[in-house]
Amino acid sequence: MALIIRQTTTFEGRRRRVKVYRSVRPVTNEMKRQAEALDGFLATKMREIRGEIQRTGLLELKGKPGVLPLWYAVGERLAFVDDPTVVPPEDRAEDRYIWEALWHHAGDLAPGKEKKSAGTDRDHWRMAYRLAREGPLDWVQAVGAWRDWVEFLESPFVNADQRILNWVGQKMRAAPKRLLRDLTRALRNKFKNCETRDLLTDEELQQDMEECWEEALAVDQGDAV
Amino acid sequence: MTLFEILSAEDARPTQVNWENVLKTIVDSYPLGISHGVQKDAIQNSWDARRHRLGREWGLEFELHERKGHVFLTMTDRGTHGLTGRILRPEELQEDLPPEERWGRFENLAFMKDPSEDAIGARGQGKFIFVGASKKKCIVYDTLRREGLYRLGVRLVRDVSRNDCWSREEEEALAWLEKFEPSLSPLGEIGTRVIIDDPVDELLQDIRSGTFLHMIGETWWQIIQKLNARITLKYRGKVYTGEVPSEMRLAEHDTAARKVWIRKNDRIRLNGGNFIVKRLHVEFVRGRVLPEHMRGVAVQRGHMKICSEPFQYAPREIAHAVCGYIEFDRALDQEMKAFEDPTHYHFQWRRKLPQLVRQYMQDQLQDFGQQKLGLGVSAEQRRRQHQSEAERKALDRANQVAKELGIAGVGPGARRRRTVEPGPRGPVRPIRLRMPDPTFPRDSLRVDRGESIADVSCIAVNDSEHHLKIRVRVYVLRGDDQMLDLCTRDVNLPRRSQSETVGPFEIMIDEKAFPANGKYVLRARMVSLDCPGYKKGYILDEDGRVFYVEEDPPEGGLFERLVPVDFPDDFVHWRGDLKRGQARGWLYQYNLRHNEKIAVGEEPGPLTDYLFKLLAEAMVEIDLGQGKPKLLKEEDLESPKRIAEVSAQQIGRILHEYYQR
Repeated sequence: MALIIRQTTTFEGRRRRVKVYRSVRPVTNEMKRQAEALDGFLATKMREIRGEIQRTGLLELKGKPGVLPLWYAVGERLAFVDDPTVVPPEDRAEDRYIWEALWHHAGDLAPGKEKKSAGTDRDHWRMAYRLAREGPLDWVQAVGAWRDWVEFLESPFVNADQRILNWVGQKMRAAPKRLLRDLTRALRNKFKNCETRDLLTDEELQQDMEECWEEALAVDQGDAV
Repeated sequence: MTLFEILSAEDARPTQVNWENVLKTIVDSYPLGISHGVQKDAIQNSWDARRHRLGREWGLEFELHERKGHVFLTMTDRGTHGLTGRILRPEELQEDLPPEERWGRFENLAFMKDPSEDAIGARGQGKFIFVGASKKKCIVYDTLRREGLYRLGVRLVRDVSRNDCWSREEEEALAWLEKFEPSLSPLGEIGTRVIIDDPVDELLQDIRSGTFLHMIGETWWQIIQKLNARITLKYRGKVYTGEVPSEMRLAEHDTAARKVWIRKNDRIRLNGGNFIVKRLHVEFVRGRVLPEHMRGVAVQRGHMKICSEPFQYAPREIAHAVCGYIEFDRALDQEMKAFEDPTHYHFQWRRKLPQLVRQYMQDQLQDFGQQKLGLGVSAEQRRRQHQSEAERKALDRANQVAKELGIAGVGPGARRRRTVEPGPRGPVRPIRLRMPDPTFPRDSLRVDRGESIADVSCIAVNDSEHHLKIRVRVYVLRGDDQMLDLCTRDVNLPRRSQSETVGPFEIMIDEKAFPANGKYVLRARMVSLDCPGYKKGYILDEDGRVFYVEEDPPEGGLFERLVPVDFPDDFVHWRGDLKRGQARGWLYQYNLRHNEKIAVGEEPGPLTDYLFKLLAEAMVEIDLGQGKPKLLKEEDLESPKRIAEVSAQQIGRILHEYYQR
């Protein structure tokens, strides 16, 4: 699979966008043809999403506090990347180019200029997609703001051990509190320079997590006081 | 009046031409010898003069007459217009001649045929091969035309400076024919006869051995097969007919021993237009070894075989067993005519359209090889490999030259593999992991699929006063993703001790574990399981080695990378563009759509030279942009003209050095 990425380059002092075919494999002519088709599909898809979001009025939230519902709604609609006809299972490893390619087609929907993180694990569209998979909007909103979720989801320890994400989800569903930011910080201190997966038993991990939870609660209560 | 206006025709001296040398040059330009050239040009001239487009009633007979004291070869056609037109006066030979002036064109050199004509020949050089094929440098030609006119001509190169022709009509012509050879009858059908008087030994030998007839079949198989053209050779009373060579009787379907590749109406895109390859038909027969002249794809134009395109990058047993042909549609056939050399044996392959045609043939052969003959590499993969190899070589040389010239030192710095065990870096940790350098397939951090990295190992060292329980893991990462887990081992480390060697392991680079090209990290990590003062899971130490799959490591030096890019339409004339790299060096984007790049093609050698040339120019550009240029002196910077001159000289100097090595 290959995708078309637009890069800005300067010709005789004039900045120009050029098309680049990106893939982890050498790009063949056949892949180029598929990339052209996929690019067309992404353009259509993003145009549809933009239209839907505009109709709901959520686009007004862009750049304002409380923007989470907007990116959650976008993330829900980005679930089309799970379709194996869009990204074949054998090409999941290179789905980063999908996220990078979306920037070109996002138009008004983009949160600003394309960022350096485009295509990486911290890509804005990838974050929105992941957020929408965490749970219902009400709950997601109840436990943290957009920025809190981004900080949490991009943490290396969260990405390294699925159990941490599961535990946080369960804990917060049981007691929805706006604790995500403080919890992320407590977890970061606890697991700094540590491996957890395959090393800590479930019980050991749970104990560490509970300690972090208590710490986050204490900070929250301290803030409240 | 200007000088040129006062020059009179009366006292002008014409330039003398050494005709013997001209003839020799023409004959030498025929790559497959004089006999091949004679049959090819004779049939081509006659086929061009055929009355019916599909060759109805057309035929050509070669006949070797061996009379006592007089040997000559006649080439007599029928179903043609004959040599029509007048005997032209010198003053009429000022411009290209109209199609119907066939006699005039036959007698003179370098008068182009109208490009709109559906003719194979173009420049009228062909008849001189007939003169060259005569020991006496003499040909006789006669024609009978539709209006009943009979005309005979003679061409004779008598000495170094004389190349003359004479002609007579009707009774006088008959008398001249009688004088030439009393046994020869005048033409009885409308057409033309060309007679090579006293043929050279090479031609006689090829006729007698049957080689001449094979040459006819090889060159003209298509009109014989498709249009039932009859070309015969009469020799010692027997008539032999030119036939389609058995190799060109291609199968239409695969069998156990025979594999076939047929493509119809494929498009070749150029400058927004489409050219159509009417048919490409290639066949491989297992165990067959074809004669050299039948190997590869015969490139047909105007139903005539021009040349063969060999199956490159295939093992000999396959390349020598593949033959076939490519045929263009009418428009592409006409376009290709402009790129054909006067002998009809070559195309100018370095021009854009022929280059694309050649690339198409090679791509198809590669795909045939990969899909049906079990060859491993597709056309695209092969192209990428060549491109990558050329980029690497050009970069290496350019960085080396830049260093020698003193304009290096701003790049990322070499990241070569360590060849000696590194010494201690900073304070030594009491608890640490040591990873000796693994063995790479070559003296580089590059490793290709099918190769392996050997001697991967590590040793855990405990210089502390505590007994430690640790876990050692050795694995491979791409970005943050773990691609391969080589080993996970729990180790007890008494105080002041070191572990046994963990490993050695060998990493096989295959498609499954390493699907993507590029940078990977081999990492060994030591994690606390039970170590006083450290939490369980704490990463005590780690060591790693970077390697690159199917890709060269970033270059140390002035240039970091060469990046192939399709430039947009309004910059398609740019050959490339210089950019700042990521590691303080430069990267050079070269334009895949530039005509020069297309003409250079994809062969690693020419492509390396081309890319080096671009980098040489870029080197001068970079140098000019520096505060104190190394290649230009202070006084050279005073005027744009001087800067341009000195820059060109410096580029010349760099290229001179490059080609000297």
